[in-house]
Amino acid sequence: MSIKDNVITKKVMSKEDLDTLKEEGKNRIFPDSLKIAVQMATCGRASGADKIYNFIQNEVKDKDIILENAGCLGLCQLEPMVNVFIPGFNPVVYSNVSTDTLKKFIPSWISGTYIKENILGQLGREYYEELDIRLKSPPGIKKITENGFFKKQKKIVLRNSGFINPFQITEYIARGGYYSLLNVLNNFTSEDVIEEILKSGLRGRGGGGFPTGVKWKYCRAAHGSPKYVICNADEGDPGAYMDRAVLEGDPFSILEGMTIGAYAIGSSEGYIYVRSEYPLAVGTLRNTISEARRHGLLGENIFGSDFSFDIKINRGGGAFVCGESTALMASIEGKVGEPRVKHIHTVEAGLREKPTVLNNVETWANVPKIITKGYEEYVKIGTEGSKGTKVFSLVGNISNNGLVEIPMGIKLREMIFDIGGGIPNGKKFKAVQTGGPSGGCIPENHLDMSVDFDELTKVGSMMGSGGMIVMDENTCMVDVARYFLSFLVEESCGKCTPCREGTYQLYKILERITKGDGQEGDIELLEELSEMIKDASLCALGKTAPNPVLSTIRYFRDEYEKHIKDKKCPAGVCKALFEYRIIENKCTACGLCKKHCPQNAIEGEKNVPHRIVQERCTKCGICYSVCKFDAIEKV
Amino acid sequence: MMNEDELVTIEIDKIKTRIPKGTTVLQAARSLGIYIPTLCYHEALSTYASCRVCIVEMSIEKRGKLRTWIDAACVYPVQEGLIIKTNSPRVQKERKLIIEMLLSRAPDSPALLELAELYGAQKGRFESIDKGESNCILCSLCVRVCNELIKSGGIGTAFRGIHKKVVTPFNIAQDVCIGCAACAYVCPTGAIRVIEEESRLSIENWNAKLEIQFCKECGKPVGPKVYIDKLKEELNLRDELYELCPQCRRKIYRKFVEVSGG
Repeated sequence: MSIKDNVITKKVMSKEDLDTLKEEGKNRIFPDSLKIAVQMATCGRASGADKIYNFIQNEVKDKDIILENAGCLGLCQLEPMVNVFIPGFNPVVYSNVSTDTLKKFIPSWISGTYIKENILGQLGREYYEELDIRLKSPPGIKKITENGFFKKQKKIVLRNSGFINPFQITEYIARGGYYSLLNVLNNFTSEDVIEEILKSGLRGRGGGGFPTGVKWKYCRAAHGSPKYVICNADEGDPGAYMDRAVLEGDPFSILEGMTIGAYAIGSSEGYIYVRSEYPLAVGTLRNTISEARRHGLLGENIFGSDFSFDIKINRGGGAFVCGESTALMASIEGKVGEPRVKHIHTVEAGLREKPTVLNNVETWANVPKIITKGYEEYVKIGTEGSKGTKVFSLVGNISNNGLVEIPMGIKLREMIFDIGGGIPNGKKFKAVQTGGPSGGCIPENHLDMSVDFDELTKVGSMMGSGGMIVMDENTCMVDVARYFLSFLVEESCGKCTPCREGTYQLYKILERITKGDGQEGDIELLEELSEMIKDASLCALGKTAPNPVLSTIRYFRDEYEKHIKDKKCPAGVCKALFEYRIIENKCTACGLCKKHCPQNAIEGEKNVPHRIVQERCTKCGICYSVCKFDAIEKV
Repeated sequence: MMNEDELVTIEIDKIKTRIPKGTTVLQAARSLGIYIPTLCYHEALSTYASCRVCIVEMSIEKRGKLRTWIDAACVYPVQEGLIIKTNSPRVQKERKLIIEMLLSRAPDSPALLELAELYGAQKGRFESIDKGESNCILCSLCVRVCNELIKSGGIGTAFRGIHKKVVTPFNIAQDVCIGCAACAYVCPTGAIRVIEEESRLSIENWNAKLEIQFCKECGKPVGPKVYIDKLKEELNLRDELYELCPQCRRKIYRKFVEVSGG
C-alpha cells in the first residue's frame, strides 16, 4: 500500500501490517543504492547542515543516490555530520564536513570507498539488531562505540536519534517501534502496564524524579472523566536541550510512550506542551501526529482495538515557569501560567480539574523501550534508587560538548573526563552545575560521586532535567550565582512573595558583591533569605531558586569573602574587582597590546616595558588575549 | 474518595482538637481563636496562597519519621496527626522577612505596618523594583473579587515576576467595569485609587471614568450609571428605586409599607 499523502493509507490493524511497514522501513534505512543522511536537528542546522544538504542535493541530482535527513547523534560540537550508507556495509559517520571536503568525499562514496578523513566511526549492529540483515564492517574504520565520547554511554532514549529519518514512521517501526504498543493492546491489561512501569523503577526525567508507575497508578484509580495525559516538552533550562534532540530525532517514541500511558490510565486525550522557541520540533511533531493518525496508530480504534487516543499540540509562550506542571496546565486552559498549590495532586485534579498524568519527553520516550525488553532488563541498568539511563547536555568548558546518555550511577568524573574529554586549553576543573538554573554547583572534591537522583540531592544540587554545565578555573562562582539568579528573577511568575521579591533581593545582593560593594553580613543575609525562599515559596521554582546561591556559598565561601572583604575577584571575572597589569620582566615591548587597545590605555616606548593606565582601562581583556608572552596578568 | 465528615485529630500550638478532614489549617486555627495573619485571604473568595504571611510550621509522623516543613495555612488541608506551630521561631523569622518584602512594595500601608510591629519587621530593609510606588502587593484580591463576585472580569495580572502588575487588558478602560469599587474595598494596602468628582467616579488604576447618576428626589449621587444598569439586570425591583439614593429609597419604602398596612 502506498504511503503518499494523497492516497488513503491502509490502517495498521495487525502484526502482519506492522511487519509490512517494518520491511518498508528497513528498505528506507538500508536502500540498495548509496544513501547520505545529513544530521539536521537544530544543532546541525546551526552549524550549517542546511547548506550541506543543499550542496549534496545539487551534486547528486542526476545520480542514483538517496539523500535523507536525520536527527542529532549527540556530538553537536563536531557538526555538521553525515551518515554514509554504502550498500552492504555498516553506515559510517563523517563529522565536521564542509562543501569542500564533500567534493572529494562524494565521488569516493559513489565508487564504494571511504576517504579516511573526518571519520567519527561506523555504526554497528546495535543500529539494526531488530532487522534480519547482515552488513560488513568497512575495513580500517573504528566502531563509533570505541570513541571516548560514546564508549561509556548507554543509548536507550537516544537510540534512534541521529540515525533514522524522524519524518518517516516506517523507519521508526523498522527499529522496533510500535511493537510495544501492539503488544500492550493485545496482551496487557491497564493494570499490567502500570505494574510493568512500577517494577521498572522509572522515575520522572523532568527533574522531580517521582516514580512514574506510582503516578499512573494514582491517576488510574482517581475518579473523574475524561482523564488526560500530557507530555511536558517546555524545556527551558539554559544550556539544556535533551528533549529537543528526542523531539527532533525520534518523535514517534514519545507518541508511542504517551499512547501506552493513555491506555494504562484510561485516557483518550493527550497534549504535548512544546515551547514555541523550538519551531523545528513543533514542525516535526505535527508531521509525527499526522503520520501516526494516517496509519491508525493514533485516533479511533488504534490497531483495530476499541482503544482510542489522540494528541493535540499546545505551544508554550516562552515562560520558563510553564514547565511546572500546574502552571503548564493553567496555560493549556488559556489561563495565566501560574502554579497553584498541589495539596490536591494533579493525578486527581489536573487539567480542567480532571485526573491527569504529566510526564516529561524523556520519561515518555523510555516507556516503549521498557515494554519491549521487559522491566527485568531495564532494572539491570542504574542504581538502587535510580533505574535506567539519563540524558544530559554536557556543555560549558568541556572538550566534547554534546548530548550524552549515561547509565545512572556513573561517576561524575567519568562523565566529565572520559565522555566529555576533560577541560580544554589545559585549564583546571572548578565546578559543575547540574539541575538547571535552580540546581547547584558541585566542586572537585565530589567528582567521584555517582550521578543519580539521590546522590545529586545529597550534595545540594539536583538531577533536574539534565543540564550539566562544566566550569573551569576562570569561572567566578559569585558571578555564576548572580547569573542564575538573574535568570530566575526574570522567569519567576511573580505570584508568591518569597520567589518574586526574595529572588530579586538575592540578585541585588549578588550584583552588589560582584560590583565591589559587598558588605559585611551579606553572606549571612543571603543565607537567611535563601532559607525563607526555600521554605515559603509556593512552587518548586521558588523552593529551589536559592540553590545556586546556597551551593556556591557552601563550597566556595572563601571566594565570596574575597569579593566582600578583600574586594578581589580571584577568577578575574568581576570587572570591578581586578586590574590588568603588565609584568615588566616578561614584556618585550612588542607593542601589540598598545596597538589593539581600543581605549588607548596602554603607554610605552620601544624597548621599554609597557604600562596600563588604569583610569582609562575598561577591562575589555583584548590586551590579555593578544599578548604572546603571557606578560599581562589579572590582579 | 475523601469523606468530608470524617474527623481527624490535630494539634495546633499544643491544643489538641478533632476537626473535619479537609478543613484548612487557617480555618482550624481560627475556630480555636488562634491568630494567623493573612493578607491575600478572603472568606468570600477562592484561595490564592500568594502573600505567604500565613505560613506555619507543620510536622507529621510517617513511617516512624517526623517530617517538618513550612506551608501556607490558608490552603493546607488538615490530616490525621498533623502538628501545627503557628508562631514557632522559624515561622517568626521567615514571616518577618516576608513582611519586610511586602513593605518594600507598600511602605505606608497601615495593615502592613501593623503586622510589621507585631513581628518586628523593619521598614526600608529592602527596596522593591518600583521603590514602593505602586503600593500593590499583588495579592490578587481585587482580581478575584472582580471575577468571582462581581463577575465582571475587568482586571487581571500582566507580566511576570517583579514586573507583574494588576491591569485592565492592554491598560485601556474596560466597558465591563461598573465602578462598584469592590476592588478598592478588598485591597489590603489601599493601592486602588477611587476618586469621586462632581459628576464622575474615576478608578485611576483601571483608567475608568464613569458617569454618576443623581437621586431624582434629593439630587445626591446614587452611583455610577453602569452600576445601576447592572443592578437593574440582576434584581427585580420597582424601577423608581434605582433612581433614588439610599436615604430617599428608605423614605419611599416606609411609605409603601404604611400604605400596604404591613
